[in-house]
Amino acid sequence: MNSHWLEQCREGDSLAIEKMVHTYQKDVYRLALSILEDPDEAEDSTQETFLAALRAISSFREDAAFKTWLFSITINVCRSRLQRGKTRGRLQQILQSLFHLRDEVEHPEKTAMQNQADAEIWNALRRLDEKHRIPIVLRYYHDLPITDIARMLNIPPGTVHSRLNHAREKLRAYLKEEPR
Amino acid sequence: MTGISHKQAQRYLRAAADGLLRENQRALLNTHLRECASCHAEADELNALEARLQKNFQARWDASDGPSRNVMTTIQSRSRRIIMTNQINTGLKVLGGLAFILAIGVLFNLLIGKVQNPPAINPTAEIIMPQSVPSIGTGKFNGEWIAFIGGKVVPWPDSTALDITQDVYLIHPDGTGFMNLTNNEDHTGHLFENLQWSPDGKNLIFLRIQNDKRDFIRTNPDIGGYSTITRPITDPDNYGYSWSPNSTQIAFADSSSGNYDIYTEYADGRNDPQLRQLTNDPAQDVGFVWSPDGSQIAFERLSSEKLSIYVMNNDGSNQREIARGSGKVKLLWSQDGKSIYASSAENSWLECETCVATPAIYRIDINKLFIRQIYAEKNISNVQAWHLYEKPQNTLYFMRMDPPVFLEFWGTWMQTDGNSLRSLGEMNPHQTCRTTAGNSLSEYISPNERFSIISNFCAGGFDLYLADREATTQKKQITHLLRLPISTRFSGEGGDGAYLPIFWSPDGRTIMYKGNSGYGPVIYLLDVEKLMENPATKLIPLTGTPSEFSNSFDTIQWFGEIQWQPQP
Repeated sequence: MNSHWLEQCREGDSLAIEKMVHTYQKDVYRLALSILEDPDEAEDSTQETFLAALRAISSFREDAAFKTWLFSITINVCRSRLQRGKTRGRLQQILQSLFHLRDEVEHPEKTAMQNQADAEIWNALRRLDEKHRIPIVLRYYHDLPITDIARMLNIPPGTVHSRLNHAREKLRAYLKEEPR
Repeated sequence: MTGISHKQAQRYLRAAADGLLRENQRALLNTHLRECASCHAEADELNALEARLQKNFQARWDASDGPSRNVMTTIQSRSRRIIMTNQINTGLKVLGGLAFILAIGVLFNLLIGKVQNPPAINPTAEIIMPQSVPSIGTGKFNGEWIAFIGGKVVPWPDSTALDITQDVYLIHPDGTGFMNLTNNEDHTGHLFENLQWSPDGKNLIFLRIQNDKRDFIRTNPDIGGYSTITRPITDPDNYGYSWSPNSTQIAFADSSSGNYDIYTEYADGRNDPQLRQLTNDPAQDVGFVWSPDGSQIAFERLSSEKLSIYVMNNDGSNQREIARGSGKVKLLWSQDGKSIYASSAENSWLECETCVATPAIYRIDINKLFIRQIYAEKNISNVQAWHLYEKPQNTLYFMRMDPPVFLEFWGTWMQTDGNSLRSLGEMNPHQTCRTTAGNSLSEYISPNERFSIISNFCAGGFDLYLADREATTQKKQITHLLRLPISTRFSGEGGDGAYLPIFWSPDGRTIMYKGNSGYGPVIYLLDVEKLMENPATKLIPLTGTPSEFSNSFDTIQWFGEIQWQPQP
């Protein structure tokens, strides 16, 4: 995204804003989906990310890549959704125990396992906590360098490296546990 | 096998996975992998995991087309309002800024008015001028003995070949009382190193090394003789030992069991040294540092590339982790015993919320378990070494020693109170020697940590400077003391990168160095304070062969460490 285009977005040019959304919406949505694993939540997060970016666009400094900046907003939005989800999950558990509600049907996305090997890796990935899962997704799905991941997560590159190492070790251990 | 260890190869593998490996490291790794089947298998396993992750992620998410059209519609409908709000906010900020500038202008006018009409000076008030020559003393005293390691050339038994045997010697500073403590003339193959006087000066300890086993030897010069303290230790990485502040015990790391653990024993001459194992962990427990009151010991626990910093009581109880990170760091207790400073080099760091993983200085509050990165060097390749010294009032001096550019060492002194950072000036070899490249700065910090002797090998000689970290002006920061010819080094070797080791006396006024009288090796004493007052101050030869006249020391043809006894 060049600075001229960015300036037009800052001034509220609707065409520039549309182009910005059009250019990045797929990446933002896939990032949100890879963190939240829920298409509806990912769609809401995409919308929330772009609106937050527009509110803060005057504070964006061009020494960082626009996409990196947008991704860091996406991660923050997704994290707060995950947090809210946890609270909601706890509330649901309480209600279920009180009224013996049956579990919701799993989202079709979650059940669409291609094969046993897929299931193994997904089970292993789900066992990682958020702190270690997000760097793995950013590194191996979005193919991002350590420095960009560090900027997005607002942690030192060394910490990203150490979290990735930890996550890989855990994944290897989990995969060894599961019979193929 | 190749130039890197298995451990290093595994570190490189992980770095390669994260795109952090340099070209030369990649070449080393590839060579290692070709020769090491287990590391090769490890690499294959890691690659398989990475490929599996990528394949599964792509299969799962690449099919999604992105959000629905509703997202774009909502953003467009709300963007106009957001941009308008942004513009109003910007306008308010501009107005606020103008108001601030106006307020500053009014304040500035008031101040100018005061400067133009200063208060009258009391003509009788005493004006204190800074002394041109600062006192460099420490307030401590020198003891009666100087210990040093010396070597004699002796023929091998039944052979015409020559060998150097080492011994530990004692001598009074006036050159009297010379004694050979160890009398190692029978080709026992012993080497000696790491001379350390106890802080109260009563006992001297050194290591006697033979066949990778190290014995702690203790001597008391007032009583004479020497003895081993307990059993020999294994210390291939040379972590050494350290006296407790109350001069009773030493702490050391021993890897006889297969991994390093930390031990203490009494070294003050009591019958039962009470050898005690303080840590027992499969990781490497090293980097021990006594707290200022001696009640606690901080140490590093290293496991693969993982680092944990621990604090424990001096009997090994109450071990608690105070920080985590990666690689190795250097530890220093604050004078109040409440914090520990850690300095990290390339590939080592501590974890904290706001820390960046570059060579850095950290302060760890051991009670609140709060870690603060007080200085981070952005350019990783800028730092070769740190030297830290803490002063009262939480002031920390440290030096960032830049790496050599063909043996040109550069350094920057910095001072921090934990909140702000001040650069005290640069130590640049061209400040002191403008004639050649290839000069090499070495720094030797005085016992009071304010002064240093800088030795700069330059244009075929050694220039000695006194550096003062508290100088009032930058000009006074580095004072040239004297120039010594290259022949000062007994070996007579010249060339780039030559250095001259310097040893300070406990009172911080005298330096000792190993020189060459022209007739043989000599230990010289130089009173730096006197030299600054009077440039004609002479060097005093302590021992060796200062002249053509033989003396009792003329057979010593090599000198190692020199340590002057302290006296509280």
